[in-house]
Amino acid sequence: MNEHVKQKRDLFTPGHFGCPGCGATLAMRQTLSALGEDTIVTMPAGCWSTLIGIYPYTCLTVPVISVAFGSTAAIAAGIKASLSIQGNDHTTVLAWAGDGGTFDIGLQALSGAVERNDDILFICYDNEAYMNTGIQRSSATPAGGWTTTTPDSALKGQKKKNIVEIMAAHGIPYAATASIGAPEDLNGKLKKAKDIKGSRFIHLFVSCPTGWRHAPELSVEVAREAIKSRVFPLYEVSDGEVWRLSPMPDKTGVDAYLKYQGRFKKMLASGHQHFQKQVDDDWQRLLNKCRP
Amino acid sequence: MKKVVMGNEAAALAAALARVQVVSAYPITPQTVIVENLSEIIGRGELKAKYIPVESEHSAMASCIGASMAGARAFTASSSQGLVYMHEMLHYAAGARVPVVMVNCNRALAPPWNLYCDHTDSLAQRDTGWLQYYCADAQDVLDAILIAYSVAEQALLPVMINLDAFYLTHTSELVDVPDQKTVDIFLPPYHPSNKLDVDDPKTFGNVCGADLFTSIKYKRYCDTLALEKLWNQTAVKFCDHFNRLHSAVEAYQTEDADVCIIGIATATGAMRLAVDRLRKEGLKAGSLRLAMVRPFPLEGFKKAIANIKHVIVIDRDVSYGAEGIVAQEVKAGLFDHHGDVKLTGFIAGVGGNDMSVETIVPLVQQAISGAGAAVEAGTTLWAEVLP
Amino acid sequence: MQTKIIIKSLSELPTMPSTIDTMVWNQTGDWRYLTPVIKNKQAPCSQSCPLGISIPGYLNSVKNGNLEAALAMLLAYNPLPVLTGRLCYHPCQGKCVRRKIDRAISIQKIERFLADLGTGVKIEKSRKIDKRVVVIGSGPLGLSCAFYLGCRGCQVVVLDPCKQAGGALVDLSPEKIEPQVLANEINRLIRLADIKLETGVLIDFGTSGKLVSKADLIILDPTGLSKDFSAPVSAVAFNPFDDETITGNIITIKLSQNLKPFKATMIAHYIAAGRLMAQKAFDCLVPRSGQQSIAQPNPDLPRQAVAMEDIRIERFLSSDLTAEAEAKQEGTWNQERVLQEAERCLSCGTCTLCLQCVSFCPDASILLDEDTTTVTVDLDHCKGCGICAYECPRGVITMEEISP
Repeated sequence: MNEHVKQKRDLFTPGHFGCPGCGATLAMRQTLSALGEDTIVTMPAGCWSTLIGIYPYTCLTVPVISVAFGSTAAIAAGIKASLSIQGNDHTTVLAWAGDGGTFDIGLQALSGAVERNDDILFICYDNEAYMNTGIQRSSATPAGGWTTTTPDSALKGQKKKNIVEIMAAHGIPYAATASIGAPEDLNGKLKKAKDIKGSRFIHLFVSCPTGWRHAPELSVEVAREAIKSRVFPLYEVSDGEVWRLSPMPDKTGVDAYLKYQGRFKKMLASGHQHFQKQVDDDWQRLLNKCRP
Repeated sequence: MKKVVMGNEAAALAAALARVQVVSAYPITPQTVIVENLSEIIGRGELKAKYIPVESEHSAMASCIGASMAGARAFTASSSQGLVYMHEMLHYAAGARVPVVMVNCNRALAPPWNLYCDHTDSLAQRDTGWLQYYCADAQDVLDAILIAYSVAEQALLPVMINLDAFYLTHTSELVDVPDQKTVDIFLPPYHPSNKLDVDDPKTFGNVCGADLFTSIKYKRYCDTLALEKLWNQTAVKFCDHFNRLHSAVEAYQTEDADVCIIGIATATGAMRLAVDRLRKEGLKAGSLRLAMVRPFPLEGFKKAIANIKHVIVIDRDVSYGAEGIVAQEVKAGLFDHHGDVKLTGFIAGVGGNDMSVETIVPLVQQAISGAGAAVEAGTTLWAEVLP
Repeated sequence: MQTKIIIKSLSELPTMPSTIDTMVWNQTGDWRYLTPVIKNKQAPCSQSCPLGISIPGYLNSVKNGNLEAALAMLLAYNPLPVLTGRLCYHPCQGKCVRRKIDRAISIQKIERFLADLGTGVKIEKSRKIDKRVVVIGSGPLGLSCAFYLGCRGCQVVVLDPCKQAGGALVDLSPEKIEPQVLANEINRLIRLADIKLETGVLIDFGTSGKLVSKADLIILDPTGLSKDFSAPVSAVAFNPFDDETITGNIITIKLSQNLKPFKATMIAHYIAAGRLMAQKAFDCLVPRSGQQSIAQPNPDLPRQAVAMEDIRIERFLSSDLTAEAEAKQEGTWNQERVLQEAERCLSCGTCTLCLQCVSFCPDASILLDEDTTTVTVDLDHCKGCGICAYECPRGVITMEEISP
């Protein structure tokens, strides 16, 4: 977990434009420290493509290509084919997209790539809205979460789309959830995913102080609470069939998680029993899928 | 080696001779034969390449961009709806300076659905910065793709090779297939110095401020303008190996002509036959084929029409709200002489209407006399319209 | 700070829009209005200890197997660990954070083990000075006071009318403390401090000023002395916890109600009183000596207390929370047991280089400084988000307003 201290060069350098307390930057740092320097990254429009630095400067010292919004998985597939035909099968091709670039506009290319079982590692860093363009809702926004396009007068009714289920339905070798609130678990999953051939998908929960309206020092804490309350449980799916829970602390209620965040203020004020019930129901459904 | 092939087959042969390393395409009529042929020869191991059967054209271009950025020679093909679907990525490819070569089969855009020849699809992409070349015959297809890779990799700009739907894609002709060894000399492997490389990590294409944005665009603009010269130079080199010259423009009997018919793609042959017939009838006619339409081949164009008094442009496309796109481009090319040269623009030969000598001669006559079947609309005359 | 490379001409512009350098030149430290301050603080156990012993400090030495060093640290703050290791009411264990997880560290057992280790240890002493002090009463207070003055180079004599040294400790049952053990501990103290002890002595202030003339200062601890004993008229009452200035050269120690009569469990308080007395006595004897305060034997140890809310149980790494040691508490502990128990110490308030702060920084702006083996903040880039402070399990980092 502290490999970044020992690497030959710093893959992630300071001076980027991320908000103080940004979960997405922490996630990238943790990810690169697990994957190492033999990694090529494709990233679409989103928080990362703007915070990475202003041309001609960058905060990452791995090769990165900043791509058009919906194309992340396709570009990654092309890179992988290119490396492969040139005799390089060891470099990890990392597709690093936000929830918009994965769940919404990027879903088609993602589905296409994983259907072909293209040998890429696709990580969705999920901050549950289009944050870069000013906190608009995406299909990853949870029900009851405020965004600028689901304001208090019209909070989002739909549940968060279950992207891991969608990936599992493609039967890919490995899909998992992970979080910045569980760095040892994330590190383990990245190391595992790195060595698997074929399409691998990690749904990575990243807190956003700016969009979720929580204090910046709580970014990791909020992520931790999401795991504890099972709003974002940790699990893995192998070959689309074998579902396995990852070690998690004992389940708690959603209150602490919701109370940290200003985006749930309206929902808390008007009652969140339905939210708790939904979390409990989803958790039970997941338990049913997992091997004993 | 001589072979009878369809235009599509010639394209596939050329891609194989060019030793493309990554092919990523989505099927669409009338391009399908190209990708089918390529997937088969790749599958048989005759071509050492990766074939990515993507789920959309947007992804096809994206995959090619990714593949090229990582150092491989990439190829794709599309047509009409597919081409416009990848519009965003066409801008991206040119902006990212990737030397991708794409074959586009010019087909009408829906609605209504129509599978036949129409150049609007690719001409509507002219602002993206791709070099656009329009093939006259199957040999042209084969040779132009090879030249295209050489030009693209020298200039680091993408090239679009256009084939007319069915007239070229599905018409069989006799071609001379170059031998692989000579092609390898003309077109060595692609080894870019700037690419996605873990040993030399860089970030490509991140946000750029006002300080450098304009300069980046300017540099690309200048490099794009230089493509006419680069294409012609490369075509000469190609000619040295294979004895066939494919210049950016091809003029036919324009030196002493008063009237010049201007067109692109397969209409070339019909235009020349029309010139022959018109000359027999006493008109000093000539024709100019714009093989390259983007960048507009100003040098070649100016030379060809130096003495022309009346230019007749036949477009198999239109820019709604304006006029035929080739006419518009020609007008821009004639700007300095606009007082001296008359221009008549026609829209004809779209949606399955053939462009033959029988089509062209009456249009020329109408242009000169003012009387004919083509209907006036704006500054354009439309043929084959209901009364 | 890396200088920014600037592209000045078209020819320097890469054809493909690719980067030429990092963003390190961008001083995002300018965004900050609170700065993380990394400072070791006093653990709750140490805060509650009447002697202010740096418990995590010596436990850390024990963890590393360095028992001699651990004992030396202990002795610097507590010259009678054999006694406290048996008698003290160990408020430290009551505040031990580990009790919230499984069970408090058995600090007293460890202290007793170290104390019983033997007499071979040596401690630092100042060179002898020409100041004579007489301490009357060889209870823990008097002995402690004498110890510290002796370590500072004073020539100290401890006098006690009783035949046996130890003051009220002598009356304790053998189960609490065996007489021989008590005697050995007192002897160790005397030897370590290089002072004299005379028992069975008649304390007489009256005769020809024998006592008075030979001493620069006489400190009388009346705690164990009989009611008949009368202090001289010139003696001034002095409470080491409250009073600052010593007047005259004979003082009688006066303690508050909660420390009277002698209670064995409060032994640490008496030793603390003695140390504080020594501090004030030394300041009176050698004003402006410029030497380190006796009350704070180790100036490097943190004085600021760690806030309990800053110690976060959940943040400890699984490697910090080794499996629950066997619950055997009874009997005398051996070295293996002691090492096992010391491992359980979480080092509250002291950085152990767990590097949670480093792992959780979104800006790579808090770093392990390889040379000094400490954690430092990159002030040029730190945005002051506060995650490091929040995530530090030990409460070592606090966010503070620091003017530039």
